[in-house]
Amino acid sequence: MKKPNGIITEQMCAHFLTIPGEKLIFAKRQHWFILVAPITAALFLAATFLLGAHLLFLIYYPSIPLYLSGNFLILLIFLSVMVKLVSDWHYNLYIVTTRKILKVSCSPLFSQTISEVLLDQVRVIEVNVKIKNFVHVLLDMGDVVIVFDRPSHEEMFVIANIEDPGATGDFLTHAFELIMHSSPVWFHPRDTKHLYKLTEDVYERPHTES
Amino acid sequence: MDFVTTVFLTIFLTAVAVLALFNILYVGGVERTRKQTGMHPPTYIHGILRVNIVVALFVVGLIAVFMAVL
Repeated sequence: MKKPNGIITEQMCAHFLTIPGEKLIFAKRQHWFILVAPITAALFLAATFLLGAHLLFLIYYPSIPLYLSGNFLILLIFLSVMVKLVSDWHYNLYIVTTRKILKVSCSPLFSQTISEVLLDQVRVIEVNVKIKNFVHVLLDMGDVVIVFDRPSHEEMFVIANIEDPGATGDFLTHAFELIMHSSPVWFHPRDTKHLYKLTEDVYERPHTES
Repeated sequence: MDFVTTVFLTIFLTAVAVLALFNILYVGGVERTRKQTGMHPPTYIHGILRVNIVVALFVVGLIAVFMAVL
């Protein structure tokens, strides 16, 4: 099966493959487009403050030292914000292996969150692809929503704003089929010759004697 | 040096010093995250951080010179 675009190599994610025999299915970052809005906002703010500094320190209160210092300060703030935005994006990724699904969300110096779903504790019942709007269609960007059925309730894991969501969804569905068929708990084949993807949950009713 | 210039230069000096400290700490934060995740950051991140630190220290010196001269 064709692998979707924008996949991160296994060497980069080797740190997260902790279970013996675990293999990487795919790892992805969010689409670069999510950086566009905050970078544009930062650029706009920097330009506004530079203009303000120009007006303030060259026209209303002329002072070359203040003008130079102010401009350097604005430039430094802008570059620091850019570094933080790009680093946060770089260290925010989704990893799917044969044993678990991970969302790694690290913000250097600020926070670190790693969410993990162990695949042998759940059953995947749906893999949905969601492309929200016109711009996302043009950029081939969207969400892949994985719906789990736990014994007590349903839960969703959203792989948000990734590149090539359609191919990723197909790829994941195919991978989950293979993984879940070999799962001893949830996918007992009815017939050894014909494997079924879905099985029914059958619970014994308690015998009551009237 | 008049009062307004002194106030502005003091504010700028403090802000740039804080930014220099932030960038130095951020290099450490990126390095720690690299060790924890095993993932190297893009090379340009290190480049921009180095530029930020050098520029911030230069501006601290520049403002100090301005304050001394004026």
